[in-house]
Amino acid sequence: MVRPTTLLPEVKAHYGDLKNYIGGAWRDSTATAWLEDPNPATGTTIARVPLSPKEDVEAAVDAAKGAWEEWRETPPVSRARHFFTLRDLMEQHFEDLGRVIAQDMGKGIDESRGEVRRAIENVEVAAGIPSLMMGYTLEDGAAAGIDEEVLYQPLGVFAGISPFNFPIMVQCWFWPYAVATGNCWIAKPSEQDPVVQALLFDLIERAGFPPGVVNLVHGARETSEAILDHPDIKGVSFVGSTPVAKAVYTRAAAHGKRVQCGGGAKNLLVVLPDAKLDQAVPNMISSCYGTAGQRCLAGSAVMALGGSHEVLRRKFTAAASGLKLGYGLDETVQMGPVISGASKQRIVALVDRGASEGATVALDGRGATVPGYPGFFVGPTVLDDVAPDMTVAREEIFGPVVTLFEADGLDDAVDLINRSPYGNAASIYTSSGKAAREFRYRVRAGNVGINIGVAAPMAYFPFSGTKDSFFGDLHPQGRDAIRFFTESKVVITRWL
Amino acid sequence: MDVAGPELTTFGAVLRFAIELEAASAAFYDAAVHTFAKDGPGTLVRELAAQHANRRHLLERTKQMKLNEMVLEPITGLEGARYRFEATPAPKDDLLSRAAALEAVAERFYGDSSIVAKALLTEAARTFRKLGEENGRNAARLRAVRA
Repeated sequence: MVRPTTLLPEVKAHYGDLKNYIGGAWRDSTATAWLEDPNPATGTTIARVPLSPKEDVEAAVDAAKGAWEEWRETPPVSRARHFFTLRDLMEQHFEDLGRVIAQDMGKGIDESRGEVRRAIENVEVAAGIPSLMMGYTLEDGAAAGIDEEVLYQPLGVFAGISPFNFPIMVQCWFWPYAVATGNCWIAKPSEQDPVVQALLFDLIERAGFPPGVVNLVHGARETSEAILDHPDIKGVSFVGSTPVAKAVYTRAAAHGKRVQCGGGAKNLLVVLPDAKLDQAVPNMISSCYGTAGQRCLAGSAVMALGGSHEVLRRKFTAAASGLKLGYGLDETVQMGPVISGASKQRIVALVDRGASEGATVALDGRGATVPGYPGFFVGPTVLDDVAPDMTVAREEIFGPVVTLFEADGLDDAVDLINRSPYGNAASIYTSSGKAAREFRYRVRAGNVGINIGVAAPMAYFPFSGTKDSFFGDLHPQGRDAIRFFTESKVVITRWL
Repeated sequence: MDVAGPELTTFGAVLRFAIELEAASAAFYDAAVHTFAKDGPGTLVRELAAQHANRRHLLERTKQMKLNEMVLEPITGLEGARYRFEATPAPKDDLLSRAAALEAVAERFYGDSSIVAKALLTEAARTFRKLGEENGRNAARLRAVRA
């Protein structure tokens, strides 16, 4: 008998028909088609999302272009003050933002708060733009008596297209840096859980950003394509699946844009026999089942080396089976639902396929239910006896499903990681500094964890990724973001 | 509080319980303030009422600012039954012993939580450790006043 759950009240039961935010005003979309946005735990609709057409994107671009000259002439220190104000507003509304994410995306309230924290951190870092955006100069850099310097200048209008799994954070990987450097911005959040963006834009408005500097357009594919094709948008930031990331990269680049595109992942957690399993297993559980496995940094495969497979399988499966599944607003819940019914079907079908290809279903979450919540739940699932050529070993499942491998040594693990088309993250659990050093030196993955299963860079570091997990060169966040959103201008000066 | 006590399975659930504990403690001492004269035990009771109100604010800040989604691991090993507490107003004769018991529960809870959280959220663990130590000192002072 446990204490009855006290659910946090939802901020609202229904958020109505979402509006676009263009030119400093909330506007009805001209959309003729709308999507229902369900709460993944209950299945009930909590908002309607307009599938904004090209005309809405054009209106946003016009507003952004109109605001740009004055915004770029606003001194960086003045631009930064809007971010300090926004940061304070986000802290004041911290709990509401988290609760809306839990309600709309499905992740637990702790994870939702963690996501809001990450979003705020990006706003905080962008507030340091007077330092971050400084160029550099070299006296006599060109020749005696001729100085040379670099200035970083904004380009104009940028846009960001973000996924469902981090509905507030991923947009904040981009736009604070774009806007702090003097550009204007158009956000196109995921159509699957965009409600928190509406709340954020309320705060952006209250933070006093001038009309047109930051804009919001809801929609899906047609909206995104209008962004990619628009000649006056200078660059696009994107995160999504690998096929879509590749398509976005290709299409936007064909229109002469700067592009940064994060794609899918198949992240391996490697466990050496000298790993401290009592501490490593809970960390792996968090990596694999946090956000119901729908993180691009989620551990989706675990490889035990040197005969440690059996003990790891036993401990890992026991820990996974103990996770509490339920509605994210219940503070005691450790894993929420997946985003949609379609996603659940896809995940279950992949587990079925794994079983038919010879994997052992060591822990089966396919039939999981939560009393009182008829939403899209899949329980923690473990597939054992997995071979590298099986579908479940190769494809991104993006759900609470973990494949277990067994191998002899570190070379096998490095080989598996490096043969994967994905390169988002890889982690090693070991007490050996030598093994850890070799691992980080050799693996072709953008984010490497050493005794950390979610190697998620903080706001002041780039969110890396390589191979089919990232298309582009400059990553979101940190100094990379400053470079992505600015042009380097070299000035050579001689006084006669 | 039911027999099993709080369900402490996540960082948020632990912090929520801690905040409830501090709110209940502050209310307990607030209610006790009028029981004593302004000197002797009354001075200590007033001090503890203010202290627990401040601790609640500290914990709310911890809940919001000291979490990192990278290491939000499931919490295990905190058995709610160990932290059942009694914070209803007490008659004057029982008040100081009830207060000491309340501080002892809090000392146990924060001590256990600091160990569990140490590997996950070091800043939060440090806060828990300091709060537990403060509870220990409070309990000793209450026992001394009773004696």
